[in-house]
Amino acid sequence: MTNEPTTMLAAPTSQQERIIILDSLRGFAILGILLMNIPGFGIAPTAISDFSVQPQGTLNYFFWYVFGPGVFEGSMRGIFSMLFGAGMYIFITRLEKRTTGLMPAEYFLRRQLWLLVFGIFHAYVLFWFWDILYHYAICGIILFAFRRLQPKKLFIAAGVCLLLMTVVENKDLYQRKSVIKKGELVAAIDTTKTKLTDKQKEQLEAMNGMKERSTPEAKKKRMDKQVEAMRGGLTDVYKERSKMAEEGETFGMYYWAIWDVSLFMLLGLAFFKLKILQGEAKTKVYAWMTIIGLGVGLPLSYLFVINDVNHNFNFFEIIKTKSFEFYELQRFVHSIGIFGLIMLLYKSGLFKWLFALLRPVGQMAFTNYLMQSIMCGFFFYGIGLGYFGKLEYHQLFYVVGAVWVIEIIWSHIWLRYFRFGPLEWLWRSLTYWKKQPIKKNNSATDTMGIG
Amino acid sequence: MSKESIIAITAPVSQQNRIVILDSLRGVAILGILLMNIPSFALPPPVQHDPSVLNEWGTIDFTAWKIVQWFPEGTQRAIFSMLFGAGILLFIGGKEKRLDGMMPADYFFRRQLWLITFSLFDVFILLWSGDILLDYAVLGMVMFAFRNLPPKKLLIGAGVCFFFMLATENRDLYHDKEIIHRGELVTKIDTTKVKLTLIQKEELGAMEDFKNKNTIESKQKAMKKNIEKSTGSYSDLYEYRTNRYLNQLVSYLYFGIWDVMLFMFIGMAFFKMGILTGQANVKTYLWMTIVGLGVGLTVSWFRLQQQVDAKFNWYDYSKQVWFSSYELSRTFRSIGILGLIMLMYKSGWFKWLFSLLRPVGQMAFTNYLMQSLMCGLFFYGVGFGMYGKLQRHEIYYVVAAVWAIQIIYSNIWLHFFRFGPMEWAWRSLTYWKKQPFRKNNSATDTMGIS
Repeated sequence: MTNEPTTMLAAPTSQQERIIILDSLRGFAILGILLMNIPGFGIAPTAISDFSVQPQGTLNYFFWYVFGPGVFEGSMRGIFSMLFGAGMYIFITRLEKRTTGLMPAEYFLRRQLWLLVFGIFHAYVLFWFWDILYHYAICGIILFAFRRLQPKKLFIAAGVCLLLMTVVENKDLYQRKSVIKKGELVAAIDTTKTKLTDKQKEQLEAMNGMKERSTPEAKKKRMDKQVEAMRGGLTDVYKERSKMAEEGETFGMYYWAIWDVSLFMLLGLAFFKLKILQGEAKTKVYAWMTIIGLGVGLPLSYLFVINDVNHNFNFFEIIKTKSFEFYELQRFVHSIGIFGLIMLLYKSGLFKWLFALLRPVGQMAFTNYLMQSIMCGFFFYGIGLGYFGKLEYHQLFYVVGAVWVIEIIWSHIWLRYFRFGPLEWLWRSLTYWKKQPIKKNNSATDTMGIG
Repeated sequence: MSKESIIAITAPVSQQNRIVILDSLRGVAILGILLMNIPSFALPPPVQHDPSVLNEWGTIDFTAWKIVQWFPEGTQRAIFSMLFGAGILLFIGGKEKRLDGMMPADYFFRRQLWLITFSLFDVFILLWSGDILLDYAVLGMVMFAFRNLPPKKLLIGAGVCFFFMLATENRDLYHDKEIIHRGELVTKIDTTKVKLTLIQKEELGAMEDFKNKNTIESKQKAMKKNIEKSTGSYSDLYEYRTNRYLNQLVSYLYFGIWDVMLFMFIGMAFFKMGILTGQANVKTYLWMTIVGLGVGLTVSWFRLQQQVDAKFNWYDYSKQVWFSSYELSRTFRSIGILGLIMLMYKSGWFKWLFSLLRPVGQMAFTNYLMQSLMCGLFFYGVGFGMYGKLQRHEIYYVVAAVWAIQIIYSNIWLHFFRFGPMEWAWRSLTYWKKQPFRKNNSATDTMGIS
């Protein structure tokens, strides 16, 4: 890519500006994502969103609520997906200027397929079962077909994704409700008089199984097993996590990621075309996004969370009493609000230092994302320091703070000497199947981030 | 696509021939696929590939099972995957000549995404839980990245897929073997003296579960439940079949990725080498037939023998077998059968057969979905409800009937129309423009499924 610097220099200044804010945003998102991921690294999956089986206390609850489903959950993933959607568009349009024929499509697809390989590596070698690279790789390919659409049509497509995700969630909810209902009907039968048929027995068993799994005792048992495995050796960790990774990547892809990720990629593409993502829209736009997004989103999220809390996180009771599932809906609304808020901070000009601080972090977002898995894995898993399950909920966030500091520092140092983060460089080199220059020769920073 | 027909006319004769044989091959494969799919339409899952449940030993049903499993099983799917791989080259190659910039890629991805939509239709409306269109749609997009490779590298790609498929297959086998091994270690412990730990109890339970699932009684029980659900209303069937599909989805792609891509790679390579188009030497096809069938049928024979020896008890089978050879046998048999078909083609004695099957292949997509529709109507409760009522050998009469129907209507339909109805819909959606449908001139349009 020797052409790159020339193109960059020849580009107008506003081009340069645009990219800076995208990188800073990416920095926000990549650090923010750890807030949501840290419970996955540090405590048993069963306990992640369940306070019936872990130390309560106001501080724990507060951290869980704010960085969990109450405010932040899903928003950083959302912003990251938006940036990925915009990034693929930038990638292709730039290549379209420089190459002819189908080459942009070739490089794009190769890039996505390498990302898929990285995603698999992340899940099965670095043991990160919530990996999202895999889903980005696949959704990105699908998005290719939609990249030329007008913003309005992109919004419609995003709306369809939101709708379908909500349908899927509710289909699931009602399927589970029907298991309970059928089981309870059978339970009401007086077995001293009537003998149950095989089918009825099965229905009863299905309900009882669900009930049983929701008891604190059963959950504790599961937790103990999870903790034991994660504090164990390499094979234990691999067995435990690869099973979950397979579920998350292979099944999760079709079940939810296709809508959840595509929704925000489409939005990101639309926002990019409307220059909202670049911070070039009017302040009013961002203000409205913040007001409506947080104004509607936070109460919605509260309603979503409080139901779980009221039933003491008993899954069985939650299903039984819930009549509408709106996880994606509330997540969507509050994510837009948080995005608007960040952009307001940017537009205000008061936080230039913060955005400048996070820019290198975003420029090597891919490296930083994988490094989080390495660092947290080392800290928590049995193959490293083995802190898994030992920290209280709020203590997890000290680890987050430490990782943030480390990543901010090294990103600044690294990019002083090199053009890309190490994994960005590897990804690029693999995509173009040619070793890319990595050392910095001139003052023009290359700004090609993960997306 | 009026340009299409112009190109077809201006193309050299050998070009025309090339497409004719691809369509005929597609016709063979699309009909052949039903041979392997019919048990899933007609028989409950525990019986589908297991003649022991209904005690079919020594009957014509057993013979039917053995012939299908020994010889054609998996090969038609393989040939179809090869044709799909070659079709990608044709689709994009043709457009690259006519269109500028990225449009060929755009059309290609739209086409693949519409295919995903069609696969959802096949699964969730026609309730065909064995649908393969999703695999073709998804993996076709992956193959886009490899289409410019020279044949040698494509064959290396195929080799990698083959290796992974064998590894996957055997990983599963050894996973099962380990469950048995661990459980058996626990059974040796004298429980009067030592109390079992939680983990040991679990290991014992896993082994016993595995064992119990493989008894004739539990298979028969599962069968009865299946029949009940499949002969009920549409909503029963919907729940049952779609759940089955979703449960299999993970393992489908997990297998499918290698199983399908292996042959897409081979198909692209064979297309570039002229093997798929009948331009290679007779000697090449002869060798493919001899080696392919020689090795494939031998391996396949031993593989089936092991199943028979274990009396189809998967527990015993996993315990005895030390190497899983499914993909090995399938790959060789598929190449052998392709060689054999091409030999028939080269001999020139079967022109009538190839021209009979050509329209079937030209509307392969329609015919694939029609198989789901026809068999669904015949077997499921929403139609005639013949599910689980036929003996194994009788289901092949249904296959023959479907073949006859499809051959007849394909020949008639393409007399009047340029494409099969689903091909037309797919094309129109891909180009987002209504395509000409009726035939105006004598030049047949030769754009098949791919």
